[in-house]
Amino acid sequence: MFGHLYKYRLLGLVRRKELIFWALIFPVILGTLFKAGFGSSSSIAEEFSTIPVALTIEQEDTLSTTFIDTLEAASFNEDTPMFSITTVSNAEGSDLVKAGTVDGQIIYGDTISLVFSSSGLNQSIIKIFTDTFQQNSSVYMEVMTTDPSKLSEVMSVMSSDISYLQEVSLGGEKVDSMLQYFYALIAMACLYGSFLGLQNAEDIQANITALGARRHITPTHHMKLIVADLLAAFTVHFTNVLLVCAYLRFILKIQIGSQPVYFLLVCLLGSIIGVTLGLFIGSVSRRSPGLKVALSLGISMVFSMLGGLMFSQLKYIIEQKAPIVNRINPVALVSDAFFSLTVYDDYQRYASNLIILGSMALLLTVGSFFAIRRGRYASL
Amino acid sequence: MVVKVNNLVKRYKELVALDHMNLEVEEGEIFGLLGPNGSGKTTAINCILALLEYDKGSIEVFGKEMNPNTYESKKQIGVVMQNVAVFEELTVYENIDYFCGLYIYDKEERRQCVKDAIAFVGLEDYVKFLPKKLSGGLLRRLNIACGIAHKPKLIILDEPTVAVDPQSRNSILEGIQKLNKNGATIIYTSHYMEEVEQICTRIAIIDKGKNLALGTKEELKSMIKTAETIQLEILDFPEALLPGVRELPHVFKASYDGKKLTLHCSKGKHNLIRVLDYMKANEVSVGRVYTELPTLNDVFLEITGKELRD
Repeated sequence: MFGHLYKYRLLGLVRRKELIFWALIFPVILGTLFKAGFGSSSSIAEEFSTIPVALTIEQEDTLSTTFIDTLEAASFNEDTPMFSITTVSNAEGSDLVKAGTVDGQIIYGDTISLVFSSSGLNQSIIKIFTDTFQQNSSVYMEVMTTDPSKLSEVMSVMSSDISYLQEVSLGGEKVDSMLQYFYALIAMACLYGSFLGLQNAEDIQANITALGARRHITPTHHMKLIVADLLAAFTVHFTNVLLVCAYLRFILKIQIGSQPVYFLLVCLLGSIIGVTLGLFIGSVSRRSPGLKVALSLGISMVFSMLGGLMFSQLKYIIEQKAPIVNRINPVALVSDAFFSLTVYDDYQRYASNLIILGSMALLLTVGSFFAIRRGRYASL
Repeated sequence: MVVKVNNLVKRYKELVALDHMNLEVEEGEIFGLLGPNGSGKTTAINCILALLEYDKGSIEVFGKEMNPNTYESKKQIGVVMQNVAVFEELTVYENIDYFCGLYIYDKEERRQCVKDAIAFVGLEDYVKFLPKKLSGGLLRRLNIACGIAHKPKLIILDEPTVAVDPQSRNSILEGIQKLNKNGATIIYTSHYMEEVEQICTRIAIIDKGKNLALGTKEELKSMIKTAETIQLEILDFPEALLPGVRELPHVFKASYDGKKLTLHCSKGKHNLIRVLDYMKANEVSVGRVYTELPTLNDVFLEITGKELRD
């Protein structure tokens, strides 16, 4: 019985050309255009600008001078120094961080400690830089004591090491600077599952379509129909997203999906959030079907834009100015989950993104069920 | 009793869609709900199907109070909606199989039911067609097949012939009679009096949500004064003769519109002969002559004071 419902819903959704266009073909076209537009521009250095940092020296010694020299010498490329340094007291540095004037404060004392007011790529770079310096500081000390004449040579080697970090992520992946666009694109494709959810909502409500009415008067339990439809939509859309990812990975040769299980889990939750978002819009809104499609498309586009699809830095600006937006934007969450895997190497952050996505999907589903579970209608 | 509607009231804010409606549908009959558009036919059907909330009254189907969870009763009901309600992206066979599967879970039994339904509506040559490839008439047939494939005991057809060509309409009406002969009780709503007259064993005439009259077509026709309507095409009929026409036996109403003289007669024999004799005696030339027994439209006209098609 359930298999019967599921099978035909699956067939119905797969054959709906307009749904498949938005959920599969459109992201594929957009991905192809991205690839064509960006071409070989894949150096991360071309993407990043100098990071403003506050530097507080609490303990002056030979190594602190070396640290300052290294900090000043670090660069993304010949024209772009990595850091713009403001040397301040501890309190002043803290104020600058709070005001957002600098992306972070480096306090050089017994150890090197950092102060951030938000998290992002720039903060990650500062952390990587200082961690690497500390790891190599023993080498400095040894060279200074044994053969100070070779210090400049060692510094040079160390600087090149730090420069190398521009292209290597914490996750050990070689990072393509354009990756963030493709992550946002996959996230957008996930959200386009809203069209399938919207279709489900329309086909189940007796006061919206004749089809909904016909299904409503059958002896099949309403909830069984809703669940079968929903599972079919999840299946179709998850497959859509996988096909988009496969196209990006194997045809366009974009470096995604290096941790397949974790990567697929993000895709699955992304697909679920897309479908449930559409189901929710279709269930609670009393507008015309055309308007609901426009609403669904509009919401998906706005989320995608804020998630960095059109302008990658927007996501980071939002992270600094209004981080809550990134915590509730499904595109930002999906994209950030991908980054957590490949760039930040931060599984806690990855899990946090997935938990938020899952909670949102649950809320949307429960909200939709309450809206469409009714037995009788006031009007048809 | 298959369906019993008692004192049903349904309001849409100020509008009273059903005004204390009462209906009783017996097993094995084709029960017609006849009324103009907006009279409350579909609202009544939707209430019976537990789709619509109502303000007052009760509805029993197969002896049980009807509500959205009356699944046992729902299993025995087949519905053909006014609007075609099929999946655009499923073929004819898949659509019928899908809807049949909502009632019948056994695969073998369902396969046979679907086959029978396809044969019944004559869609054997179109099983792999998508609905968009079907003509209006074939689409209506598919709509019917989806509603009756599970062989229900009660079939509700809500204006199934709207926008259907005459040939398909006849085929649909014959099919409904065949379903009835096979044992199904039918509730048939329409604003086409000819259809209702042709197939229904009992008819309820409704208007403004009220059940105005109920009975067999003969019983309904006997409720009104008109027993025969005579029409004569006459050019230049002298108006001075009109009072004389009205005084003819059994004639209770006569009017002339410049081309046609219309006479309404109560029960009695040889009305036409007497009228023609009167015209001959007064040297009035008569063109075509029509005489007809009362129709349901006459019944509706006399009860409500307006034409059924108004």
